[in-house]
Amino acid sequence: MDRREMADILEEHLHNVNVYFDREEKFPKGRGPLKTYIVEAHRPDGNSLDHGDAAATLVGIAKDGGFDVRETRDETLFQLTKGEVGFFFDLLDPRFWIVHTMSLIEDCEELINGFVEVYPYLDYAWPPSDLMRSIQGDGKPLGFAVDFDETELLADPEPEKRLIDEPNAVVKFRFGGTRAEAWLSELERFAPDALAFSMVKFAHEDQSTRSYIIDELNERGRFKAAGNSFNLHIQTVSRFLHSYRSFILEIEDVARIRSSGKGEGGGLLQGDPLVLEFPKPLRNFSGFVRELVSCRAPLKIWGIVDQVRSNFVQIEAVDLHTSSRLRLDLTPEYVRIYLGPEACGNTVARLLRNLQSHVDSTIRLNIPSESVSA
Amino acid sequence: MPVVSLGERAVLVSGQLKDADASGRFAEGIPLPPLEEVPRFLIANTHTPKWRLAGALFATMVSFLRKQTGKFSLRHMLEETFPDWDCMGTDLRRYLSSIAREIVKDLCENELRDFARIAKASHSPNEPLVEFTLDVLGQDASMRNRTFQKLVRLAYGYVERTKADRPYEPTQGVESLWLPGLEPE
Repeated sequence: MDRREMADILEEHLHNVNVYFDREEKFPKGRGPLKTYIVEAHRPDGNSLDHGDAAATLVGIAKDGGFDVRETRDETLFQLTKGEVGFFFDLLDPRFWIVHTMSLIEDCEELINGFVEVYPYLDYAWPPSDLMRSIQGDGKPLGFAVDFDETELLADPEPEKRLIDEPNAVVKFRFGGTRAEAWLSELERFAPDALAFSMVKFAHEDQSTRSYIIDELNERGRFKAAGNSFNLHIQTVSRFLHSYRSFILEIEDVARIRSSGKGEGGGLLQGDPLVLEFPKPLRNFSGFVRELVSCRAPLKIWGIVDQVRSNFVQIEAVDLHTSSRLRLDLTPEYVRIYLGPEACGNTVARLLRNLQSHVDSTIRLNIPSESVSA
Repeated sequence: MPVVSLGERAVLVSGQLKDADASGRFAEGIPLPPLEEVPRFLIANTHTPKWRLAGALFATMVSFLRKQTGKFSLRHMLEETFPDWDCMGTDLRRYLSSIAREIVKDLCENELRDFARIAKASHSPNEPLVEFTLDVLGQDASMRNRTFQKLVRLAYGYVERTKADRPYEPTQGVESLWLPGLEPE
């Protein structure tokens, strides 16, 4: 087995899925549409992985989970199987793993979610809404899903009851078809701050080879594909991964607060805090603070809160994904994030994505273009 | 625009801005945000009380506990807690080292005794190393979550008793996880 054989197998699967669909037949037992996940991985101590570490980390995790692991002729490609579920893990980028599967979506979700829950140094990709829309815009838009729910990040049940009467506190919508953009502009009139995209659907085609792919990208970096070209699918995944990786690396480059010194004093402090502004004040400040530092998924932040004023807190925090230190200043109007020198950009992406899905979909991250040294 | 001011307004007294609008606005005075809302790059000086440093150092201990690798020196802990460590003068470093040494010893003997202990460095016996004794990554996900939530309670308790200059009392937990005003509505 190598990458070329894997591509042949996955392309054949795409064709077979089309045949089953045309004949209105069920997939063979245990099989489903082609899916590709992006998993962000670190070493257990939170540090970066190199190729050797990545393979060892994956093999350790897989064996813990009772998977059968097979190496391939490509050093960075592995096959994992457990019962009827099979994955191809492509570790060409040791930090952003690409995981292909033809197995049933429910089984795959359970196993991938299990990996992320049990091994905190693994996490999903967390593309912000505008990145998802930009990837969709590269192709022909064919649909979208919106999943906005303000109750999710409120720890207290009483405000949740009050939210029931709010017009856009919970907005869930799924639309498929070529008129998706027209529907979207209608939706923008009614719920402009609740358009948190949980899925975008789009097509790419190559008329010269009569090949096409229809991909659905969700808010945790999972692609679901239908069509007849694995090549077009992997191009789409690569474009997304390139954009997402650039986003994460830019956060780390600009926002890690670190010193340029050599340990003997006199160094320069570099890096800027990042600010996420809330277009409307948080409805329940204390409930949000509690949820933010609850240690629970999806935010996964440990923190000790120092209340400076009733509506202003400073938090000494730890991101439980890579165990890196960070500090937060929080008011009902904004959160200011000071990343530690080894912090992972995923922390900010995860927070941004969840704020868009549960506070206001128009929240954006403006990364400062020039850093100020102090 | 970076503005250096000790007051609540910044006022330009000489016309150094070419833009007439900007110059006019600065001449009238620009209101500045409250001092505590200004980005805080530097979090300690030689007058910062011990209790203010307790939360920051406790958080770093939690970060190292989750990392689960070997032993950590006091210096490593200080570098992780204060991003400006390499920019500090000798007096401030000496002050923070001394406070951190007290805090780490206190925590390892009391609040974090089930999680960490002090070990001696073989090459430098006077330099304490912190060694973590709990395999937090080996716990299942829900147990690990409970461990981190317990560490939150311990952290608040530690900050409170440091502020009150009280000795550790094993049975005395914090009444609430939340500071006054931040309790559930």
